[in-house]
Order: sequence, then structure tokens, then C-alpha cells
Amino acid sequence: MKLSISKGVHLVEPGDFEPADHWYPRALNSNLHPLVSYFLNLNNHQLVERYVRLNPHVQSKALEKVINYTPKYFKWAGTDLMHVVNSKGQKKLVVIETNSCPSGQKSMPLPEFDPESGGYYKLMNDTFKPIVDAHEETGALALIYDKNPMENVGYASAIADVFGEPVYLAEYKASDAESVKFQDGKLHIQDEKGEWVPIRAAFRYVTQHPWDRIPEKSKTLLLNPIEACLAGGRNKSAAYKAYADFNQEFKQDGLEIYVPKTFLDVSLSELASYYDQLEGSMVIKVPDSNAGQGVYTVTSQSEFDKAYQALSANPDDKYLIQELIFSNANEKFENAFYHIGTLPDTKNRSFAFDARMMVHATDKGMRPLAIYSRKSKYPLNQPLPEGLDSWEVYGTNLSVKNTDGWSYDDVRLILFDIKNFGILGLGLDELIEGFVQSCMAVYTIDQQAKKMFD
Amino acid sequence: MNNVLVIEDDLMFCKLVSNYLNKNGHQASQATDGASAKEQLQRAEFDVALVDYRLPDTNGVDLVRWIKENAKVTKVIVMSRMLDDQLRQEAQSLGVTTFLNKPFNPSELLELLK
Repeated sequence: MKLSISKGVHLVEPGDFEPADHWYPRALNSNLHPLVSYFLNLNNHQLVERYVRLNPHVQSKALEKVINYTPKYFKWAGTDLMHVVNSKGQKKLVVIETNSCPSGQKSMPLPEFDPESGGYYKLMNDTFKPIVDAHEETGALALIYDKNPMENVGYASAIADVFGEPVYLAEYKASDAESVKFQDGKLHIQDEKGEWVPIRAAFRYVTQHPWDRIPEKSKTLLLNPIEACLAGGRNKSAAYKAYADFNQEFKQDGLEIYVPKTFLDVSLSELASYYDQLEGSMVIKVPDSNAGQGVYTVTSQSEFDKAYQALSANPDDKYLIQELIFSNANEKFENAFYHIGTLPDTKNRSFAFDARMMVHATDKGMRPLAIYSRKSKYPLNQPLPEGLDSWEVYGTNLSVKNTDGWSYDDVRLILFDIKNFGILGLGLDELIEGFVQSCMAVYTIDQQAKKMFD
Repeated sequence: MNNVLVIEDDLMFCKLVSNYLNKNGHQASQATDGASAKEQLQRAEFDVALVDYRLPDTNGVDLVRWIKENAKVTKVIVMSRMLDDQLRQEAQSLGVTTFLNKPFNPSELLELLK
């Protein structure tokens, strides 16, 4: 490794991969739950057969088409799912969002002792390398990022090992970055002599308004390209439109992406009428927000007022509103879905959680790559103390925005290991359902990207 | 074993160097600007300060001067991509004897800590 090649740029070399630097210690020292391991080893044919057996109204050909799909733009994704139920006992895994730069490798126990069995190498070997090898541009390899150093050094080191060549690891937080630029649609990174090195392919982990500095139709191959973000991978409204298109297209085949009831393009002045219409409970989302920022759970007038005030800074923006997934069964909203939550602990506390299913495109179709869960801070089944925001009950994101960058509230992380997986109450069929929901989300966002950019 | 304070505004640099030093028998802490470096140097004792010349709120020479006057640090290493003679002389006049040209391999830093 060479440090500080230029401002914010380091050169990662083959042999630099250090497992202890790229996994949380408790993930590295844990054992993957056998049921999760079994799930990861099922082939796509088995997954389809099982899904169709449990959902006989689903046409297997349609499901095969979706999970064996080869995306053009959206080749690596992380879908956030919530396990919900209604008063009739109907359970679902609901898609909350689909992310085009998903974190998760550092939280995924290794299937085997060898680090190369983990997701860092799998993603590079099975997804990145084949498309880079087929890409005709010349130049070096790079990784550009704006957060998550633990995983990004891991990805850069895995790329260096898989390709047998050094990788430029470059921070790209703003369009005026000193050492990173796009010129004529091609990424360039400054080396130690001040010269601009053309980049043939880059792994992209730029999460904050990446369209401000990364062009469409980049000549440098990007995983994922910006088109995947604009079509839904980093835009909740675009994603919802894609889900709706999918549900229309595959209705006859029995396939459906489950999402909470959603209202798009809501202006600031219309928020109050939705608050009334939804009888005082809703979620307001800023479409291009992420990492738990720009999402407001509203369960009272005071929370509505607080959200309204925060959003008033941008009076012309449009928002997405969703029905709240409730904390408990609710007489007022008889058929509404509520969180199943974690199994009650010894103090009888049950927490909302989500499951992030990371998937990638391979020559065997879409495949699961990593999975982990995050729970909320405050339990679902206890009265919320006065003054505590409902986000504490419903919010599961671990990212914390600090003045000097991002940190992670990783005490709320739930690993899919022998010790922790059981408290989620998920079984093999829920993992399969989560995988199918994720593949459907990726399929339709990629289809939308094709419509928008081809 | 040295207690090392890494003072550099590139968070990734801090992380990479700290990981490397911690794995090689040293104990590293991080500061991303002059103010945070001063706060840590007042709070704890360090054997070595690894100081980047270019920081968002101060330059390396001013920070070295402050360290020499206010902190108990056995060794100060100044690193920069532009280590010209003037900078070197300024730092030397403050008692700095060890310099590190960027880019460098972390093993070079390890040698300097022996």
C-alpha cells in the first residue's frame, strides 16, 4: 500500500486485504447460522421451486425470468425489508427501499474460515471482474467513495487481489475534489507526480447526491453506474414508480413487490391533508435522502409540526408519503400492517427490525451476497415515554451523521449468526421471500433505468 | 510500543495508518485538525506526533511549535507531499529531525518508530 498518492488518494496493492480491518470483530469471530448457510447454498432453480410451492398462484416461468435476469445497470443492490403482519395473521416482507451502494459486508459472518469465501471477493470475482474484462476502455482500476471506509478498503483490497494490480482508493465527496475528476465522461485520478491517470473501471460507493459529480453514460465502467441511482437505487419516488410498474406487469403471473401504500409528489402545502386522511399516522420521506436522513415518522400533531418545520427549508420540494407500519395491532386501523418485531427478550421487549438483503448479478442469475438486521432503539410493545420521538420505535438505520463524517450505532446490529439469528423469528422461507422481493426490486429498477437512459 | 497521535485531515489516511500501527505493536489515536490534536495532546501523553503539514485550521509548522511548547512528545514526524528546503528548515529550527515524504509505504513509518 502507498499512502497519500495525492490528496485523499491511496494506492491499494495485491496482498493488502486484512480481514480484521474489514469486518466488525464480532462478525469476524462469529459463525454463520446453519439455516442462513443453507439458504445461501440453494441454487436459483431450488429457490423458484420452493417459492412456487408456497405460492401456487405464481407462474414459475415469470419468477425464473426475474431471478435469472441480467441487469444492464443495477448489478449490486441492498434491499431493506420489514417483517409485518396484520390482524388477519397475513405476514409479509415489505420492501422499504432498494439501495445502489448498500453497506453490509462488515456485518456478514464468513461462510468459511477463508476470507475469500466472503462477500468482498464474491462481488469482485462474480460480478465486477467479468464486466470489467469485457469493457474495452483502457486505464487503471479505482474505487471512489464518500463514506464507509471499513468496507471500501476491503473492496479495494479484494479488487487488487482479484485483478492482480493496484487500485486507486479515492475519496470523492464533492465535485471540486482535488484529485478526482470526470473528463469527457471518463474518470481520472491524480497520481503522485500530479498527472491525471485515466480509469477504465471503478467500484463506486458515492452515496450523497452522486449525480452532482458522476455523469450518465460514463466511459469508465462503474459498479453501479449513476443510472441505477436515478432510476430508483437512490431515489425513493423513482423506485416506487418502478415497483408499481412491476406489480402491473406481473399481476397475471402472481408476482408482487410488497410496499406500504404510497403517495408520490406531495408538496409541502399538501402534507397536512395527508396527515388528516391517514388519521394522524404516516411516514414522510425526502425522495433522494438516505442513511435514515430525511425520513420522518409522524404519529402526533407535534411530530407533524416538527417534520413540517424541518421540511419548510425547501418549500418547493416534493415528498413521498407512506402509510406507517404500526408498532402493534390497532383497533382503529383494523387491517393495517404492524411490525412482527424481534422475539420478546427476558424483559418482554420486542423491537422493530429490518433485514438488509444484499444481492448481485452473476452468470448464475441474481444471487444473495450478504444479509444482516438492525433493530430500533426503543421497543414496540411499551408505551413511548413523553418527549421521545416515534423514530426511536420505528427507525432502524445505524448511520449517524457527525460533524466530521459518519459513524454507526452498531450496538443495534443483529448478525445472522448462531447466537443472534434466532431472535428475528425468521425462517428459511422468509429468507427466500426476502431474496425474491429483492430480485423483483432490482429487476424493475433496472428496467426503468433502461427506459430512462437507453 | 509507542503511543502515536496521527494528525491528518484525510480520515481514510488516519484509519489506514492507525490500523497498520495497531497491528504492529503500537497504539494509534487520530486527530483530523489542529484543534482536535491540541485537545488530545493536552488530555493524554503521546510518544510520537505524526503531523501533516497541511491541515484545515493550521499549518504543520505552527502546530509543531505549539506541540514543542505545550505537550510532552518525544518525537515529532512531519509529513508532506511538498517537503521543500524552506519547510524542512523551519521544522528543523523547532527541533524536528524526522520527515516523511508522501506518498509512503506504512512500513517506512514503522522504521521511523524504531
